[in-house]
Amino acid sequence: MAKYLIQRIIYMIITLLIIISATFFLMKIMPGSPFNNLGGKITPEQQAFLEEKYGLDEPVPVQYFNYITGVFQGDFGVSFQYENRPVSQMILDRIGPSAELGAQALIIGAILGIILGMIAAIKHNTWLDYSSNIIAVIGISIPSFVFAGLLQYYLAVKWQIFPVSFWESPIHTVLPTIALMIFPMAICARFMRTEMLEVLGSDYIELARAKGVSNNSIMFKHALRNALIPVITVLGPMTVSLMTGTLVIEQIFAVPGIGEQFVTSINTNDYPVIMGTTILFAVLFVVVILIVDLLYGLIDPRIRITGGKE
Amino acid sequence: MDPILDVKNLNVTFDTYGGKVQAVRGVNFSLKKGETLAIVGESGSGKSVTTKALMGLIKKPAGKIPEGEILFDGKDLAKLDNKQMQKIRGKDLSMIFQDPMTSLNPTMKIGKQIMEGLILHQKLSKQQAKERALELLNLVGIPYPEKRMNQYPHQFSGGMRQRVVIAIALACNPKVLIADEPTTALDVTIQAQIIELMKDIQKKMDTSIIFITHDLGVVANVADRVAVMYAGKIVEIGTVDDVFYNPKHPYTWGLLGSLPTVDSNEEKLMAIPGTPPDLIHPPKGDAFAARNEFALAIDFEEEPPMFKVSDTHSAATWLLHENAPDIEPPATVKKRMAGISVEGERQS
Amino acid sequence: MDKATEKYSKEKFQRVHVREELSEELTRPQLSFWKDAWLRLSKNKGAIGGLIVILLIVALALVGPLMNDYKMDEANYDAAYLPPKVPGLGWLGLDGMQTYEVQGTTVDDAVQRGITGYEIEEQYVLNTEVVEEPNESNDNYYKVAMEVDIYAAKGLDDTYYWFGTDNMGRDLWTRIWKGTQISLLIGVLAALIDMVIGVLYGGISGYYGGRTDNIMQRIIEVLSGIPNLVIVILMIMLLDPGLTAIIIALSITGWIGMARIVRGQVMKLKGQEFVLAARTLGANDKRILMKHLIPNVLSVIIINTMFTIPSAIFFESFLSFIGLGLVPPDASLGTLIDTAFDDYRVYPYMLVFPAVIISLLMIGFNILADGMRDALDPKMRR
Repeated sequence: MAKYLIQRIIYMIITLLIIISATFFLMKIMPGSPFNNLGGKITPEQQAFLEEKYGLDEPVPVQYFNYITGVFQGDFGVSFQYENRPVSQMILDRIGPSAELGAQALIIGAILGIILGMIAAIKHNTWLDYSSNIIAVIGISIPSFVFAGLLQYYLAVKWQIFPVSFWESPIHTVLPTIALMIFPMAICARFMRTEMLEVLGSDYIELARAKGVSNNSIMFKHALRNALIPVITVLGPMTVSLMTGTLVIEQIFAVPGIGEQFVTSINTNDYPVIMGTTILFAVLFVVVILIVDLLYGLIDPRIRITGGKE
Repeated sequence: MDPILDVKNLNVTFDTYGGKVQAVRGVNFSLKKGETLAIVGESGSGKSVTTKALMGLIKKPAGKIPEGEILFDGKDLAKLDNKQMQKIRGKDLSMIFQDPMTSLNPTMKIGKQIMEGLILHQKLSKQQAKERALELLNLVGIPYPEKRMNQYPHQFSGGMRQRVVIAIALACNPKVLIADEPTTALDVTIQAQIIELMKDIQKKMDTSIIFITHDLGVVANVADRVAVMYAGKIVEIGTVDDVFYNPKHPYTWGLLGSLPTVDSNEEKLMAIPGTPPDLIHPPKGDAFAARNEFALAIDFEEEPPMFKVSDTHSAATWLLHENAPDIEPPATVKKRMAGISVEGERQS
Repeated sequence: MDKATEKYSKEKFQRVHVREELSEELTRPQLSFWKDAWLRLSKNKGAIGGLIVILLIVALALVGPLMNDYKMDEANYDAAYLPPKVPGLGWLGLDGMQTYEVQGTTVDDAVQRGITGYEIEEQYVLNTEVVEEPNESNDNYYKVAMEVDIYAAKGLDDTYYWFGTDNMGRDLWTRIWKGTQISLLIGVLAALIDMVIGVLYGGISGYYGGRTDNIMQRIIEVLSGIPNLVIVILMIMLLDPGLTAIIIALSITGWIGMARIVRGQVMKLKGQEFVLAARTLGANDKRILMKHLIPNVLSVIIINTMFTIPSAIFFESFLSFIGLGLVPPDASLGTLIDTAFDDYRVYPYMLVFPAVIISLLMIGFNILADGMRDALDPKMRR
């Protein structure tokens, strides 16, 4: 287990180093100067001053070294657009709403998805199964921003049940959460259904029946646990969809989170913010994947033991 | 002595994509206390489906029992609903499955899987169930039972797992034990151990056993009586001696002919040509006719009834009709029959 | 003689020779793999529905822009923000009427403000309706819905824009179907590129195994640790925005899933007899790979490709939505939705049409892909 963990962490660090390096060099060769957007023309003197101030006059390898060492100390540089604002501070200021939104969407989406998938499997080939399948296909197919637009237009603009936008009270979080959770919910439901059907068709469920175990006990004592374990693996794709989702959902509902800030920074060429947020996303993703693997090992006795033997 | 289990005209059908499969078509047999009945046949002959029907494990709504009775303990099991069957399954009737690698719940400890049925049917306390589970593990020959109780199935070898499955099946002292090819998935040496274990247990507990297999070698070793199934029907049934030394049905001849023996190095194995018929549209007449080198004209027109050969032995083939020509089993089969006796004695 | 003995007459107990063809009859007719799969697929109502939706949208995407005389980048500021109007389909709401929501201290005041604000002559205001009485939350204003015959107001009585026009007066019908073309093109191209790279990479890795496989798998492991969202965004920023940039960006990591699946299949098939047989017959590596393995992994390739198309369409629209997509006047469903979002509260039609089309397209592809997976999955085949 320890050996496996160390191996995984080494991979993680290599991956992150590659991402950070790639981000850095891509930003370097990017067309356009970061100061293009600073409200009109600036004189060469001003430009030189700014470049010196941000360390852009140093040779690229030096800049690279400075950046890497900075990143590992939690320093992502300073924003080009908001003078002297450290990127790490900007991210910290904005991460609250994003985290809240993401956590809400993840938890509610996963729970609903698991319930939906379970019902579909238990009531296999009934209208309940079909309707839960339809919900899942729609959830997977309709892009989150289209869905968000529809929710906003009908539930907020037209019928005024929920606020149109902003992030002020729990009620403001309802529409963005729904819009963001629909995809994770759908993949979770599909995965759960497939797993549950497979488990219900397995020999050990038949043996449990042969023992005289009641249907309810079979569902909850035997089947559920075995079907739930592999569902952990969809946490990876779910995280990705949450990250993708926050970028558009936060814009649509004017949520002051990192997603909205990221899109703004893309449109204003605010390179340090782009780099910082990209790295944050990458770290988040890599960590989630690692957690998924470890969790899988913890919950599934088969993997726990084989890991221990190594 | 009255039979403990009496199956009368059992029919099982399944609705599938292609149509209605008549998996079991009018099976009759009975089982006495302490007796071992082997059911033999190719895959798809309906032997597993028959036992699933006994256990009430036919998957509804696709599977149905449109006709027939399963008389057990004064009740017709075919008429019971799932709730009522739950009380019988695992208590009076229990089952051993084919593949021990997949028939244990991978995320539940072995001890718990054994105790589950005990707590359910015999209303034992946890502590009592635990003691009984230890006893059972001892009985099926698993060393260090205390330690093994707290382990998961993947920590057991195939043979050990099958012992656990047997322990689960025996937990409540069932009256009838159904073993669905319990040794097929195991190594040959382990197979022999499991067979010995089952014979041993039967002696101790006086359980009746229905033993499903396609391996005639095993049958000679364990069974008192043998039923040969083909295309959803029993085509020949009798004591082991009847079926092995005086087989009447050409299909049984075929099965015996395809059986390798210890000293069969000089001759070829006989194979039965063709494949079993499609049970969505069972053929007219005798289902085996098209593969039968001794087929008679009438085989293609009418199904043969069960002809009685002796009090214990009957077979469904027109060859036993008074008008039929005298046909002897092929020479290889005769030789093979002699071979079995040698082998059977060597094993016992 | 009674009937029973008659029935069992001696003749009937003659030996018959079992004819070969009779035993043949017993075996089920063997369907070829593809025929079987097609049969299975055609029985799946959802998948066929999905296929029909896709074909319809593809047909409209190709024919639609030719059905009227407007060009996709033909701006006409006099005709900006016109709602959809189709001759004969007024009852469907496609009547060219525009509803504005206006506020004022009285109903008349609200309408007057609307008339000046939107520069309309009063005669074209056909209908007014109070939406909200004055109250605390709206600062004591009347909220009035004002229905305007905007085509007449702009002097365009005999003009019909079937899906309306955008902020620059461009015909949305033409733009939407052109945009659908682009979205489909991106989806198909990205899927094809993923397929080619993925099959080659996975095939080589799985087929040669050993050290080659080990190195190639390590590379995949590192790459798949990078969220493709990040890669796509970085690539788009690096390349000049446009069609090529999007397709390249989507292809950079898109092939990994395909490579993994193909590798798994190849490794599984490699040990099977028919490949060994081909090898003993002296077939060389390339030949075995092309003639034997690829056809056998074809079904997993098809299934995977079918799932890639909708995900590429989604990613393109997503990139367009956050401002990294195509550059105007080019249009895709994503850019159209993005533009529509600016004004959709007043002009919801701008959002509705592209949103519905992209949703139908995505649902169609996903259902069809699901159906194809069920039809082609060898595990399901009996």
